[in-house]
Order: sequence, then structure tokens, then C-alpha cells
Amino acid sequence: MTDSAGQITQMRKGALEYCVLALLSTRERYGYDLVQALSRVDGLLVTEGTIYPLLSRLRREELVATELRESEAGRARRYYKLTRAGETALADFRRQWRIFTAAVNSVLDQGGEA
Amino acid sequence: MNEHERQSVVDDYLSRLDRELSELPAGRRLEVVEGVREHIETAWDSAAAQDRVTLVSILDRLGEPELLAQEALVDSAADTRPVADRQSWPALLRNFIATLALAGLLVIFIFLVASSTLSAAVVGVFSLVVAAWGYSRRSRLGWGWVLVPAVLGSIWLVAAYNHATSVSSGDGQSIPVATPVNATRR
Repeated sequence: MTDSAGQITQMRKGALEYCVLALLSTRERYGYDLVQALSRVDGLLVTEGTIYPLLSRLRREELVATELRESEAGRARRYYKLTRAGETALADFRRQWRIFTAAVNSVLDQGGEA
Repeated sequence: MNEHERQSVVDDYLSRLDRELSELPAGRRLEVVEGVREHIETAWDSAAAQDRVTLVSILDRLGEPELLAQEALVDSAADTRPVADRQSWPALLRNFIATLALAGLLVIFIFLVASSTLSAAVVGVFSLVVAAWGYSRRSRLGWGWVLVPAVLGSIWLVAAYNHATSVSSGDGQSIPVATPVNATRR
């Protein structure tokens, strides 16, 4: 793995948790539902299973809350929803991310000469 | 592929995952394993064709259990409070000195209190209980809390035993180690 590939992996990991929060900001979802939404875009979720340790951490950090409910098929399903702290963290990230990507893009595209 | 075969492949995957997560607290391990189990069941229920190819592809996309576990353990390392093996040397030294000071206090206390076989035995047993408690928390407290009470406890139990046998043979009243203290107080 080259250095840039490793760094992209790290950045992807960092951004992934906010993508999860963003998906939960519109409605509550269960794990598989989240995975499907993330898999619809390329290059974000490489191994689907890693979402579960991540969800566990987000719950411990109280950025998401969970609730067990029966599905139509009669199986127990864990639903995740955003907490107030999660909303704040997401809003914060959104703002920082826009500034950051705009800065990186402007330098990458014009070599900072524009 | 019948239901029995499917169940055994899924159980095999989940038990591998569970084994890989053995370092995590039981609750967290269960949370991850149950999340993955739910994922597999939901993906299976919504698959167009329910055959071996489908199942293999579901598990492939989840990733190797080792990889998921690695992710979970990295997360866990990032959010736990400092534990003994990650403490810097000055912190370890402080911990050691604090333990030593505590042990010193304990020794003085014992010299003052232990003037009979019974109290020496009680203190000895209590020290061993402390050692056992320290052992159960050794990753957080370090080995000082195991070794110091274990050694002290053993010494006091041996002293109590010696005293008991010497008393029965008609010797003095206080156990040997307490004698100097009693002597200076007189």
C-alpha cells in the first residue's frame, strides 16, 4: 500500500462516522439499512461489517441512541437515531469539512495560484 | 442449501467473530456480534435468490471476522482510560512509590495492632484478599497491588502460625515480630 492509499483509508474512516450521522439526521435506520445507503456511493464503505464496531462506538459516545424493535418479519431489529450531541457533532463537522475541502480543492486544482 | 447448512455457516462466521473479539468487555462483544447477525438475517431475507452463492457474497461483503475485530479493538483502544501498560515511566514510578508508601503504612499499622495470633491471622487473610482484588484489576493498577499484599499476607500468616505453635508449647504472649514495638513502649 502506498502512502497516499493509507492516508485515504484513514480519511475515509474519519469521514465515515459523520456520513453515518448524516444518514441518521433525516430518519432513524437499522444497521443493514445504513449499510445499503452507504454502499450506494462508491469508495466509502469497503468492508460492510466495520459499520458495527463503529455504531457501537457512536452509541458509547452518545452521538446515537438505539432501540430494539420487532420487524415485520418478527425479528428483533436495532434502530439507531441521532441524539442532540450527535446533531451538534454533525453540524460542526459539516462546517469544518466545507472549509477544508474547499481549501484542499483550490490548491489541488490551481496549485494555489488562483 | 438447506436451512440447517445455512445456519451452520452463519454460526461458524459469528463464532469466529466472537472469538476474535474476546478482548472486549462481554456487552460490547455481544453488541457487535448481534449487529452482524441481524445484518446477515436481513440481507438473506431480502435476497432475490436464497442459495449458497448469496450467503457467501453476504459474508464476503461483511469482511473477515479478523478485520472487523481489529476495527473494534482499535476503537476500544482509542476510548479507554489510560491503563497500566500504556503509562509513561514517571507515572509508573509514582504508582510504585504510592504503593510502597501504602505498604509502609500497612506494616506500621500491623506492628501496632498485631499483638495476638488471631489479629495476625486476620490481617494476613485480609492482605491475601487485597492481593486477589489487585490481581483482578492488575491491568489498571499494576502488579504492585498484587505482590505487596501477597508477600505481606504470607508473612503474617506464617508469623501467626509460628506464634500459635509456640503458644501451645508454652512460649510468650506476643508473636516475635511485634516484640520490639512492645519493648520500646514499655
